[in-house]
Amino acid sequence: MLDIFYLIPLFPVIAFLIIAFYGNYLKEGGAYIALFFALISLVISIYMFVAVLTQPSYSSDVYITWFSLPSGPTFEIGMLIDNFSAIMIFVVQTVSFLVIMFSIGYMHDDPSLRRYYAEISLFLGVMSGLVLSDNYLEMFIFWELVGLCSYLLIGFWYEKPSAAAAAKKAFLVTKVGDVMLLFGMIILLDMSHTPLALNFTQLYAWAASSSFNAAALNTLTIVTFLIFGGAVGKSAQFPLHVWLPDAMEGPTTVSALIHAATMVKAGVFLMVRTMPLLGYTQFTEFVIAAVGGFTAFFAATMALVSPDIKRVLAYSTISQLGYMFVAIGAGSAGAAMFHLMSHAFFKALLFLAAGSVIHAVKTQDLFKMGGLYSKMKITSLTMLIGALSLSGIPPFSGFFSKDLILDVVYSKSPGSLVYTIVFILAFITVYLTAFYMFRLWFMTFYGKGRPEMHAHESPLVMAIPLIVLAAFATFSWAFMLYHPFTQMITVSLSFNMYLMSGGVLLGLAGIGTAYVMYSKGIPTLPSSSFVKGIHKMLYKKYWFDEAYGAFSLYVVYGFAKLIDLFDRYIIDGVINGIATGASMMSKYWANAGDSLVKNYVLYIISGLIGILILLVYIFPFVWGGAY
Amino acid sequence: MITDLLLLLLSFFAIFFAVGVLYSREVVHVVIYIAGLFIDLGGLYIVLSSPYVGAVQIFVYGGAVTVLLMFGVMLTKRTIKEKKEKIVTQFDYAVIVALLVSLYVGALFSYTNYPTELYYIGYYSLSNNMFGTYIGTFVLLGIVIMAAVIGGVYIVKEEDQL
Amino acid sequence: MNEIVMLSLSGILLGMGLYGVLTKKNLIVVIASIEIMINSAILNFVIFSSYNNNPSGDLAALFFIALAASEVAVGLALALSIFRKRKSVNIDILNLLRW
Repeated sequence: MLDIFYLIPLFPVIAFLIIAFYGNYLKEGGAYIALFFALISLVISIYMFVAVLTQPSYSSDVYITWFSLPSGPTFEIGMLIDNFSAIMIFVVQTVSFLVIMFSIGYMHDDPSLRRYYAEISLFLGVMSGLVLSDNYLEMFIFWELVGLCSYLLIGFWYEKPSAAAAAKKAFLVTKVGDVMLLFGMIILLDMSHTPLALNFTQLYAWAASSSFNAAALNTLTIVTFLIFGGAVGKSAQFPLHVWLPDAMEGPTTVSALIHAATMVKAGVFLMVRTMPLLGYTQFTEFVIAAVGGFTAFFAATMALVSPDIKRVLAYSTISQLGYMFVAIGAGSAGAAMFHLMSHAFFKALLFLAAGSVIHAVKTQDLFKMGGLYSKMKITSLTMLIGALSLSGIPPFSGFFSKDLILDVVYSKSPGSLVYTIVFILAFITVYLTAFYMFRLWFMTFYGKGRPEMHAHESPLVMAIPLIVLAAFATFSWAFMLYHPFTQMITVSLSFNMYLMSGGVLLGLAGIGTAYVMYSKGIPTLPSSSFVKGIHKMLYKKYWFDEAYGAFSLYVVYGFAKLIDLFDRYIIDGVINGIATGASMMSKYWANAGDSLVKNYVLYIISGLIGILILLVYIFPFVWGGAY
Repeated sequence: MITDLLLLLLSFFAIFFAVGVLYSREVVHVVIYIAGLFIDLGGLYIVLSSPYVGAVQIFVYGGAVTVLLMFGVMLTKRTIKEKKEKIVTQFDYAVIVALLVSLYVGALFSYTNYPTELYYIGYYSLSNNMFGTYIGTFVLLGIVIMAAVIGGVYIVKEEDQL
Repeated sequence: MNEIVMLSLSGILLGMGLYGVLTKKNLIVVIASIEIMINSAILNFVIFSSYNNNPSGDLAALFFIALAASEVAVGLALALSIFRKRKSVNIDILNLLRW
């Protein structure tokens, strides 16, 4: 049974190769090839998911040896099939298949289809590889490959300078996280000395069986902190969140696939794989929860004022990823994975629906939209389902997953200041989430339409994925009923009535506020300068981009210029100095051959005296002993 | 004691004559001073208990070499009246010279016990060595002198002579 | 006197002869300075011979006196030859030792 699961990443890579070389001769730039191979991978993934579902504590690790160092660890490449990888692969494959189907309609008029489908297929392959990895090094390799695909796809329309800049920014910011992850991995390898280097299963066994003294615990804290740094980069948490809003320069399907449903979840997945090590380092758990909670609140505030439909969704993604990290910080991988799954479905739904809207009205500016409900019924209804799910309204899936996280962190908050603050931030963010989401929905679909907009409903190939994803969002509570599933994600459902109803009420309050403010058209800001000031701060994203830009220009570039000066004047100076010295010496000694015998006599006698000094005084010292 | 006094006096005059060689303005004075030096050194050898060598020194050097030098001076003067030379001490050459002398003296002083007794070297041992052990060197020396004479004459000859 | 005093006299004479060789402008005077140097060396031999009671030093002195005399003869012959060719005995005229 295990023998075929390596095909899951392999088929999309084969699709990438086929489309890359022959895409120009294929229909629609190779889209149907991509779709076909994605379908095969999807089928195998569903098979894997069902297989693991029926054996809830299943965990198997198959590998082949790659190379081994003479003094120790053996590096291998393999697959780890367990609950978490089963869920994640199901999510990744399903969303990818639906997005590819959607792209056939959405990207139909683009001139570079071959490149698009090749890169999408490559992304699917390496993302699946990341999910199925069984050791940190393999996961890091796929991590970087996924970053590469993200760079390629954000900069898909590379002739647009803003897109190229956004791709570069994404790559560099995530690289900061990647370097931290690499450092953490190296320290961990040095610490652990498991027979298979950095293998997850062996690391869990090592952590359980070792007794850590204080110094080792400090090192482990540093390791987990650095690994979390990698997750912060890839999942766009504070302070490395700046790349995700700019990543919206890519096509909307790319945003849906990579920056909402799959790649940004890789950071969460990494932390889920690191959970057993986190159990020993309470400090890192606090940090993770704090960063997650703060980011959730912080990103939600920026979504409140954003005028771009995609950017609102980007901030929303950052905020919801913060929720997942809160869950991890509170010690529940199951809650994080469940929210990961449900968020992937409804965020992809929201992005694809936004793509449908953009495809119809050819603009991304919220202030130019309105009244599209009557013209695009399927899109607006599916987007409504997605918005309700994100706001945590039952019976949609977002309610269950968000409530689970709030429950988990609430149960840890008595007696702990950190978790209390995190809980309060997460709780307030529920209100903000509902508000900005419905601000978006009302501004897009409500009110009077503008007569100059001729919007039309999307074709069937774009509508079907929307409907399927909406179905997932609506009915995934059915998963909760299936006991093996809950066992799979290792959560126990305790229904805290006050918490649940409080969450729902906050969500409804947010929706209500948005209805009051936005359904009659766009409100104006109150003229108080305090409100205007806060609005400006949120609008400018807390001036983070300016700060990072100034840092890069003055510190990094300044340092580079300093090094350049050093190279130019000192290193080159030494080389040129040697050359100048040689030429000066040669000019001096060229005068020695002036053909006057008296000078030659002088030279001979000077040389003779030199040799005499050498013989009489220096050689006896060199040869030691008495004169 | 008297030998010490004589040695001191002769050494003093040797240095006096050598300085005269270096610091005289006319070429002829140079020859005079150098003749004085030769004879002074001859005297030094006699006091140093090698009378034969001293006598040879006075004959050969004080006689023949001085005459040779004098002939050299006479035959290479451009005019009877020559302008006086300007004596300028050249410091950099003096440094080299001082280096050499100090090297020599330094090497000297690194030995500790020097004899202070003068011995008399008689004729007997001299002739015994010259015509006994070192006869070959003696003959060779004769050949060298002959070669030098022939060579010297050949160098100096004019086109239509010899 | 002590042997070392005499030997230092010979060293001083050597230095003076060297100074003359390097400094003087007339070729005849240079040859004379060379003679001073040779004499200082011969003086050295005689000093060694008399203070260490070794007749070999005397013998060497004799040979070197003869040798030096022949050398000065050849040297002056060369100087005469140069004078005939170049009509001067300034040592700066000896500048043909080049390519």
